[in-house]
Amino acid sequence: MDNMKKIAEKISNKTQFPIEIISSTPKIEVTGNKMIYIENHKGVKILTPENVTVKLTTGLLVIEGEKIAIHEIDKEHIFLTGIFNSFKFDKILE
Amino acid sequence: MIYISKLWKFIQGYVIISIKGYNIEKLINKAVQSEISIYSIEKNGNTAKITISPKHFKSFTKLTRKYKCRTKIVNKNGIFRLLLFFRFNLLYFIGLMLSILLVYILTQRIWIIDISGNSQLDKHSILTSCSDDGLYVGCNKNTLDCKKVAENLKLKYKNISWINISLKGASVHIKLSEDKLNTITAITNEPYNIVAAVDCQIASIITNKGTPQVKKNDIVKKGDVLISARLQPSGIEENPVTDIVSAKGNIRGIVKRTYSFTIPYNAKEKQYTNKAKTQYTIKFFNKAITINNVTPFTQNDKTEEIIQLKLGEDCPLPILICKEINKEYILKSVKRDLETAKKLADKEIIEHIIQNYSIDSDIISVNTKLNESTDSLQVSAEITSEENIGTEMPYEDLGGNPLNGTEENSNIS
Repeated sequence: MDNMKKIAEKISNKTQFPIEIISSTPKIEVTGNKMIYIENHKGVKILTPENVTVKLTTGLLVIEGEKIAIHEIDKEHIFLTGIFNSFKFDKILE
Repeated sequence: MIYISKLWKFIQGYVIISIKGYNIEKLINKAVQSEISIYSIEKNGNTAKITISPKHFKSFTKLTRKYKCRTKIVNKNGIFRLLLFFRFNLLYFIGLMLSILLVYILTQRIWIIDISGNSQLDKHSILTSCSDDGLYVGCNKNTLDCKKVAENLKLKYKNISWINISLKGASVHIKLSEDKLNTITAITNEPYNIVAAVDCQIASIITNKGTPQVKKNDIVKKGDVLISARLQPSGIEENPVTDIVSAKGNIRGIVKRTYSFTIPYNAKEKQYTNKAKTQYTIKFFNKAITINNVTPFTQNDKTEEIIQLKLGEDCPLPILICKEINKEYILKSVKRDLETAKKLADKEIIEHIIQNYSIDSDIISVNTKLNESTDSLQVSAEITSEENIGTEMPYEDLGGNPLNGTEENSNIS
């Protein structure tokens, strides 16, 4: 699996093709401090108005803020709204 | 983007449900994997509010049972639901449509005609002329030709030098400026003199037409001729001049007036009792409907507030809400000291100047003389002002030759 990721990254580097399309690498788009758009997620782990933890292929994305809500969610993307203060990447502890 | 998605969801319809349980995150993930479209998820504690499309509602409730969550429908909405509501509430729908139609019809008419810039022309006569060309309160704005109305007004009133009629929403703004120099000649061609309106000392004289009869620092009495209508030919004119013209010019004089009044030490002043009665009246076109009939107090001050209903800034509707406030007062005896009486005297003089002196008058000095007595303060104020003192008087030939006037200021045309 890791080899497949490396191959995808190499192809992306050579062909300038977006990596999130050829592999399931997450793409995170932040607009101001009020909107976050995440592509290629694996589900929601924790959801509270102050904290949202989203599962990604690379680990966890922990978002902290106020009045956080999921505006839209489907298999591929999550659109979060609220007032965001910080976000960080964590590794999944198995 | 959010608004477009909201509109799309409204067209599709949606159900807002409240879920209570301990596995809400897992439920959401499962629903997403099962391709159930859920959105607007707000979680607080072990309760979450989720919006879901009606077609996925059944499958979602099955999932909630699996994850041991309780569901409760909070709200249902959408265009089809709205149409269903209207189907069963036909009268409501008809009422809504009629009100929209009424608002549309009312906004298609002119409800306010605002005239500005006129000083000599009467507002009523302008409005009468406008109504002949189809501009009146309540006329259809789609058939209104503002350009034609403006042209006709300019043709009718020769002293209008510039006019602009603009249509904004349901109101029409007529802005005009008058040609002040030609106004009198347009109205009458009779010759006239300019005479002194009051006793004064001449401060300056500028003659546009006619022969000046006075010069600076001359002391004149009321009715004295300042600029004569009779011209005195100098002998150098190429064309023969008309002997009698309409005199024109600007004469300013220093006028002294005395204003005397008494301020009693014992007086009665109004004191409001904080009791008020408010009467509301709704005016629709020319009809007034009183909502609560109020009998005023025996001693009360009346103030009126008029609120015009509007659709935006430029769309007034012919519905007025009149609020009449009656405030009760009692007359209370007060005793004034000398300082208070002096302050009142100053206030009275200022009010007298504001009310009785025109805006182009310059107040040079105010000399106040106070005379104290046991029960009152007698005030005598000598107000010196510089003002326009010329007034028109029809010309009468009394014989004799007019004076040469001043060399600096006279300008015969």
